[in-house]
Amino acid sequence: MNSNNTQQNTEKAEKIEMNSIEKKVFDKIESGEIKMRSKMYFVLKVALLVIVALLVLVTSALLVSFMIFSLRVSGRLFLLGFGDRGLLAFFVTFPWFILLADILFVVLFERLLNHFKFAYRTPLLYTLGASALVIILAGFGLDRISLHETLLVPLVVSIPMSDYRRGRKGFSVVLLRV
Amino acid sequence: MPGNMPESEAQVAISDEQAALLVQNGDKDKFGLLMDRYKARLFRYGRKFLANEDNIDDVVQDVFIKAYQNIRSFDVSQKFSPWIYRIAHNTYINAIKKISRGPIYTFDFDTIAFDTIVSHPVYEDPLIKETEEVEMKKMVEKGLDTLSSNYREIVILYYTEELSYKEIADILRIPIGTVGIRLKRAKEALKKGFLKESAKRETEKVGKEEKIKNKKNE
Repeated sequence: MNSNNTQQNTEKAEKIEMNSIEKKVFDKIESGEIKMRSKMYFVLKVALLVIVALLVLVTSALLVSFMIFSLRVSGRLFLLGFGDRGLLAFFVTFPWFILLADILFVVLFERLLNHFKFAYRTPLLYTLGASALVIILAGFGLDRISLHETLLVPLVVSIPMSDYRRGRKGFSVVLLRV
Repeated sequence: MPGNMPESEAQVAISDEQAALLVQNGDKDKFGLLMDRYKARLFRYGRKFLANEDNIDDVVQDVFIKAYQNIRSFDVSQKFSPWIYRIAHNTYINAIKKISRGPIYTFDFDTIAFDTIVSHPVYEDPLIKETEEVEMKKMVEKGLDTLSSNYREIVILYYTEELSYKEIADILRIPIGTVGIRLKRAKEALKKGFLKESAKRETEKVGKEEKIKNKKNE
């Protein structure tokens, strides 16, 4: 009997509390203390998210293409044909820092995509895999259009002859240091 | 104030989504109708989610304030309940973070969602839910505290709030298969705990009976 009364009292108290919440919220709405955000605010938020995601995608693809370009131009890919020592040299001179930065960009891209229903409803392995695939393909695509060569040719041309004699023979030397 | 009035027939005929649309178009009173429909559910969800929180009314009030501020982000072609539960979920998590005095982001193996990595085949069978509902609700009432936070919330949303896998996936932003697998594991853990408890009680009962018998024999 006692426990029944206590339960009834608790329920009554909760009902009063709930009604007071409604009243408080309504008072705040009426007084203008809380305002509805405009539709434009949310449209801009989504647009910003898409732009940031695209920027991350492009930066990440650029890093991939630069990595491929540096391996190709510096001739480090040929190291793979020189047996164990060549393989070791390849791993030692591989641009690991760029790869690590790129992995972080892929993860960031996946996190940004996760704000959308199609992404969070898909298992992480698939979204991460698909993101990595898109970025790698875009990276290869950028490498095919010789973007980095185009960007670096004016730089190489502008290197003074004195630097050339001292051994700074253009971007292949610079790239080996990357 | 509409919240204090019982829902009229005209109001009942309006769906949550229609009411949300009217609020979006400036009909503030319809927000009272939505509050009226969801206050008890959000209170119940909050009480289970924030077991150690005294100011649940403040947190629920915060949920409604955020819902009002962001109502124009709600897509009226979708269901309203997962949307407001998502706001509640985020608000309750923030409340927990505020309460805990330790660092917010600690390494906890339990909180890492490994079960979101790959897909899990899942089938939501309403018949199974119906047959096991009474038994599971009993177990949930008794053993909710024994579950880890990952499983506890899913159990609350499925058995107490009676939401579907799809709705839970939208609230927690996880794949539908993950909802299924977590629910299955939570049920197993609850059953295990329940059986353990029953066995313990049975042993105690037998022990007491033996003691009484021994006393009588003496």
